Amino acid sequence: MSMLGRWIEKLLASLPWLLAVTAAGLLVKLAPFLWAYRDLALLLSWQHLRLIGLSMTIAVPLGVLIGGLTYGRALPGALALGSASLLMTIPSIALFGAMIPLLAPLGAGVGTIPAVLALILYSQLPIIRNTRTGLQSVPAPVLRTALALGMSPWQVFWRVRFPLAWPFILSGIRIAMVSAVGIASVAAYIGAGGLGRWIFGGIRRTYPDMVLAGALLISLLAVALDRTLFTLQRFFQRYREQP
Amino acid sequence: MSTKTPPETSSDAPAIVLENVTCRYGALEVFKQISLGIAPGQVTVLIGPSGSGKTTLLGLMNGMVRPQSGRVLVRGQDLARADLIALRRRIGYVIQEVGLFPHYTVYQNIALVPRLLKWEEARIRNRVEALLGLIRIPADRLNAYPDQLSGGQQQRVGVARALAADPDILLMDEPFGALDPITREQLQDDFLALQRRLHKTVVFVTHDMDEALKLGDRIVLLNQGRIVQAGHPFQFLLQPANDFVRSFVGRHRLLTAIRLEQLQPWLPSVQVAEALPRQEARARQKAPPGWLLAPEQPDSEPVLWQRGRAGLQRVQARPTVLQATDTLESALAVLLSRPGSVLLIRDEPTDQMAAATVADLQGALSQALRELNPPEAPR
Ligand SMILES: Nc1ncnc2c1ncn2[C@@H]1O[C@H](COP(=O)(O)OP(=O)(O)OP(=O)(O)O)[C@@H](O)[C@H]1O
Ligand SMILES: [Mg+2]
Repeated sequence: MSMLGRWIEKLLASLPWLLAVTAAGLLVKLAPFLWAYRDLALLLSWQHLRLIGLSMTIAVPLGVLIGGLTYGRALPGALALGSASLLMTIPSIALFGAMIPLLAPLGAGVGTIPAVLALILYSQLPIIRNTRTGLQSVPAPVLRTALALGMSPWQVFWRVRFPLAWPFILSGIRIAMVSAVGIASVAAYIGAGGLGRWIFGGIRRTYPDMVLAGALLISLLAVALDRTLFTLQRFFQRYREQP
Repeated sequence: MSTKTPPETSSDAPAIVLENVTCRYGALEVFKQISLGIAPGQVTVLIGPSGSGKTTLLGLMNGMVRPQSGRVLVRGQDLARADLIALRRRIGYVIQEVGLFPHYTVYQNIALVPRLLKWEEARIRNRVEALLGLIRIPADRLNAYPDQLSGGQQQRVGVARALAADPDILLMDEPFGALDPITREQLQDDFLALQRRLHKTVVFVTHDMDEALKLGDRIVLLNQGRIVQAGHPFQFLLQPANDFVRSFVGRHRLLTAIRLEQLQPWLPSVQVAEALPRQEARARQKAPPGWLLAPEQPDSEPVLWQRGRAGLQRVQARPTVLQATDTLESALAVLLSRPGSVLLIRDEPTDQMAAATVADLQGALSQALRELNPPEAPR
């Protein structure tokens, strides 16, 4: 087993390199396509990022709020987590599709609004879960001394509990954001634009370079966002040992 | 909440009083009708087996635990009607797990309560720097985070944080319990030195009898939510209230107590007059009986004289001088080594000296025991 185990371990360890090499190869192969359509690439990337930005502006405060209101209560917590998990099990294409009849009466069946709404719903699970876990994991002795030295419950929450939970919350936001980058590709399907357009368009036209270019840019966006947030998270965690 | 001390609390009134306190967690009754007074300016040690209610008792004293019936008074004020947040800012609190804020630097941790009290930043900085010297932490550690300190240093910072706003009451829950024996002993010694200067009202929880004997001016032994015995450490050793106390204290502990107990409380009341020239000494022969430390010739070595009815008698040349902070053991070592020898004990702060024989120490001990309250009977 150890032979196989070590072999798998080695493979996994070299995975980032393999991916980087593959991405570099793809970039070379797709360079002519990307150069020819550079303006469109920028526009679609911008649309893609805008969907993420808009949805996260609402999803983060909402998820943190729900997590913050339920961290100390078992039943509301289970309810919030349960419904957020349920949403996650719906395939993205189905959820986007469901938005059309649901929002059509409001005159917003297609376009940015339903896409953003769907992304918000999808982001709730990691944000709520990490917010709750973070707030619950603050060591009891720290909270007890904070109270015993004369902090009000309000001060204990904002000066002790929340800052100590913040790295957890941020990591939840990171997970939510990175998965939103992928899910947002499907938004093209309901006319919200974004890099998904190249993927759907490429498939329809059997134009592999177009599909690959869309996929590559989406991956690069996801990796860039992930690294940025990870660095931020490390910064907030500087006083703690890395797990 | 009024921050003034009510007029009826004189300095000898108990700093903390529990009156017929009953305390339950759900169905579990931790205390039933318990009463206890904590003397000001002293170290009261709460000791007892695990689960006997020590932490709960401490929690009752700063309102972290509310009693089901009975009253808790702190500085004469009933906690049921007190502003608990303001009250807690004037009570220091240290626990075994330290509870330093991991996201605050050493400086920010110590500055916590002064900042809650809205002190000016300059005053806070002065205070923190002064405390750092007191707890012997190098000033370059001010910007370190708690996880960059050793366990002993963390606990010192915890003590500094508790002392930051200069509260007169300090609650400590097994503060040295998690430290290795050498560090623990160091922190105990530093704590004693600190307490000699600051005279705080300290309630100190431990389950280590040696620690209780070393640090306590008074020990309160708890078992199953009752006070089994409360009194001076020696009272525990010489007059245990019952078999539980006897077995909890253990026989060999008398020697421990003698080894750790300082001479300070046992100073004989007869003072030694010092360094009078011989002529003057003779002129004073009519003075009441007592001791005299004076050279035989000017410029010669000091000699201890006893002044009695028969006049001045030469007792001993170059008598041994101990400090009041030395232990009973070191005094006995000197006194027992030579029959009839006399020891001088110097009290550094008052710069007074007392002479002591074995009989003096014995007398002081038994007198002190007689003056102490009789052991509190279990209720
Ligand atoms: N918050 C709580 N809820 C329910 N029961 C509690 C709570 N805190 C303490 N107890 C119970 O009350 C009793 C006294 O606990 P306490 O912590 O005061 O004991 P202790 O003397 O400090 O023990 P130890 O030496 O182990 O620290 C124990 O039986 C404990 O299980
Ligand atoms: Mg305890």
